[in-house]
Amino acid sequence: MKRLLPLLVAWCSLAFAGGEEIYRFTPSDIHFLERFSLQALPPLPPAPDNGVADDPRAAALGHRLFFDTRLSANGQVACASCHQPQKYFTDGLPRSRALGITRRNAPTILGAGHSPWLFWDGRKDSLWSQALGPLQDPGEHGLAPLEVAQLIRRYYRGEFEQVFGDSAGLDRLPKRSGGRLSRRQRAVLNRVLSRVGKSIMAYERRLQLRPARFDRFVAQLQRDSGDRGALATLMTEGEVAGMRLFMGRANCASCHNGPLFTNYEFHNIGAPEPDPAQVDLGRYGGVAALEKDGFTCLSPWSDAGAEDCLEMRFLKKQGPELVGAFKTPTLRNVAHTAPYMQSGQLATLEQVLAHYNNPTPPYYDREQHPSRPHFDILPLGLSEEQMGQVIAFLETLTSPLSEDDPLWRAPE
Amino acid sequence: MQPRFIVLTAALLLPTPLFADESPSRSLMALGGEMLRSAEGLQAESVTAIRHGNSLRKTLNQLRVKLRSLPEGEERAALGETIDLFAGEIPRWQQQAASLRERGLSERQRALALLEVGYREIWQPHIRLSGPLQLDGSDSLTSGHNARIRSVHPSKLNMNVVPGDGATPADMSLAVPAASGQNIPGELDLRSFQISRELAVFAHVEPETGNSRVPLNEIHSWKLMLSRLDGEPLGDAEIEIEGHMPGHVHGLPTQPRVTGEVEPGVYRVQGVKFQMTGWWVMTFKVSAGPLDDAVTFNIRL
Ligand code: HEC
Ligand code: HEC
Repeated sequence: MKRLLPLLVAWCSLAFAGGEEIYRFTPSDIHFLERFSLQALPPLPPAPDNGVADDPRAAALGHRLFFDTRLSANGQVACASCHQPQKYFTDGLPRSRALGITRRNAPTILGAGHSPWLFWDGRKDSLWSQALGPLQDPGEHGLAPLEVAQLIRRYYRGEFEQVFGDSAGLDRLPKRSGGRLSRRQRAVLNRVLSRVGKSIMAYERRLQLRPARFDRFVAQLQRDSGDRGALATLMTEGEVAGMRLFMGRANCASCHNGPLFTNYEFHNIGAPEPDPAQVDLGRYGGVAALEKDGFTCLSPWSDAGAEDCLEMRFLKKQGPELVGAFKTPTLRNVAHTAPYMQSGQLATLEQVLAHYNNPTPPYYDREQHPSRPHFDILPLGLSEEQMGQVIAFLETLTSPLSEDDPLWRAPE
Repeated sequence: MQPRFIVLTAALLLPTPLFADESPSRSLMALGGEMLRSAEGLQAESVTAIRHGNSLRKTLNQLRVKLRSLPEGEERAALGETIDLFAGEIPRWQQQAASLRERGLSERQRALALLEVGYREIWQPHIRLSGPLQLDGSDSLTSGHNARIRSVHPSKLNMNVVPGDGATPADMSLAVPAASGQNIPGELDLRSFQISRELAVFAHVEPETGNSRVPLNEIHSWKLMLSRLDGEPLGDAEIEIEGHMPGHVHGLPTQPRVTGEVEPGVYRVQGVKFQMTGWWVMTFKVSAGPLDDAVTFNIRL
């Protein structure tokens, strides 16, 4: 038996390489893979904190705001500058450029409506609250809150009133920036800002992904898993081998799981520290920011009752695993959203795979880190060929660009 | 058979229960508790026996050293005999220890079974899940009944202990590391009914979801039911919750809390969420007056 074992192993690997076995999927396999298909994408989570989250008029307003460069200090920056539809709502840069250079890489917006936390460090708990970040960031849109409100009054007043039923007190605001605002005026500002965010969120929630080759492959498995020919036209042997590695030995699916290939949780995979002089504390900093944030689900500008804000109420505030941890990004369309990681440190998928195969532990600086960062992955020991197969599989996650979808274009 | 045990068994068979003023299920629990303590006693005796054996072995080794230094003669012969006597004693102590241990373990098993049966009967109106906690949407091989249970025979109680890799269906060709790189012990006790560390509390947990299953990546609530070993609900307890994945140094993504005691001993735990499949350990630290204890549940998602 001892002598037979190597033979058996050799036979198995031959059988796999031969392409006969590689397309053979058992009912349990298919059932497992179904959970990764877009078909299994649940409806968007309810958004009790945003009363207009599913209002088409709010989405139409948000659509215009998203593409409007007038909403910026220099009249040239829109959300769409860094989240470009033809690049799957990213910008192709390691770190984005607008009025300044951002600290991190611009992630896609596709699927973001499913995430409980926004930004790489999850420092926002809703898309509406998230949108207020770039608008006011001096390096992005660079607007003061009053300027946002003045622009709304000037260009969007009618729509704004239509969507929300009133003007939120826009007329009470001073015409010019400068002077001190009363408490009441500041409340008006916050209300206007939150409504701007809520409209943008309504738009973002409507963005949809079309089935990628992987989804069609799973659909074919469901229809007729015995039709090798049909399966082989959807995914090559190498891609299927990559999928088997992704789900199995390479363990990618333990974090990148579900129809969007993310668990939306925070992990430290030891990606190279972008700036050792000022380390990125990731989720640790995100939690601290959430506790101070004036626009969470629990804030007066949210439409939810406190009991509906489960994520905030049960927010995990402590634990070594928060330090330097980042939100698992979606891998949908990942072959077209280079560069990678929170600050675009890795330029190609080859570099990403090389990192996972032989990861460096997270950078640790006793002066800067509150505790030694946690390390969530183990070396994989994949061959060059196998790494290539995983990359090939990632390419099957590319949805066709929805160029004919009006939401993927600037509004007329 | 241990006389103490005969008394206890007889108590079960007597027409009038030993604890006449209590319900039969309460007496079952009380009996279970009693047996659990006796099992502990046996365990302690077994430890003492092992110690005896060990100290004998130490003495024996010293005597052997001494023997080597003695010249042939009477003294040496006498010492030789003593040594033989000692050497004969050691296996006897070892056997004694082993049999005490075995008896302790089996008494513990029976005690837990009685406790569980009694507990299930007392708490039946609240119990919707009798099997282990399971992931929603997974076809695990373990048996999980969502129906309310009427009564369960003690011999069936171990149905929820599944062997190591029970969660991966046999016909899976995808080599899914179901345990996410964890080393899961061969037999993991997945029961949702557990005795506490200090043997003062018997507890059950279950998700408060429509189908009593655990959803992945979704905040949901649990019900935790605490009983003293005499069947009395353990009310007004302070409860601290800790969850982690062994081998991952990983905590829960949220910070669950007890948000209310729905009824004496029935606690609502809100904010539970699991972001990864695999082996999770959930510990509830319980304190109430002088009681300071902890109950742990293994979950395989
Ligand atoms: C200058 C480029 C730039 C502009 C302009 C910009 N963003 Fe971003 N966006 C980024 C970067 C960089 C991040 C990641 C920042 C971080 O995580 O710290 C990001 C993150 C996001 C995210 C989080 C996605 C996720 O999965 O966590 C959303 C949603 C988003 N932006 C929407 C918007 C909206 C809406 C606007 C317009 C109001 C906007 N962005 C304007 C660069 C930009
Ligand atoms: C422990 C959880 C975990 C595992 C396992 C894991 N990832 Fe990731 N992945 C992450 C996190 C977290 C990030 C973001 C890290 C950062 O920015 O520092 C990430 C980033 C990525 C990115 C970059 C995406 C982008 O848009 O920047 C790719 C590609 C990727 N992972 C692929 C994989 C592959 C392939 C595997 C298996 C070999 C894998 N991951 C295993 C958590 C994980």
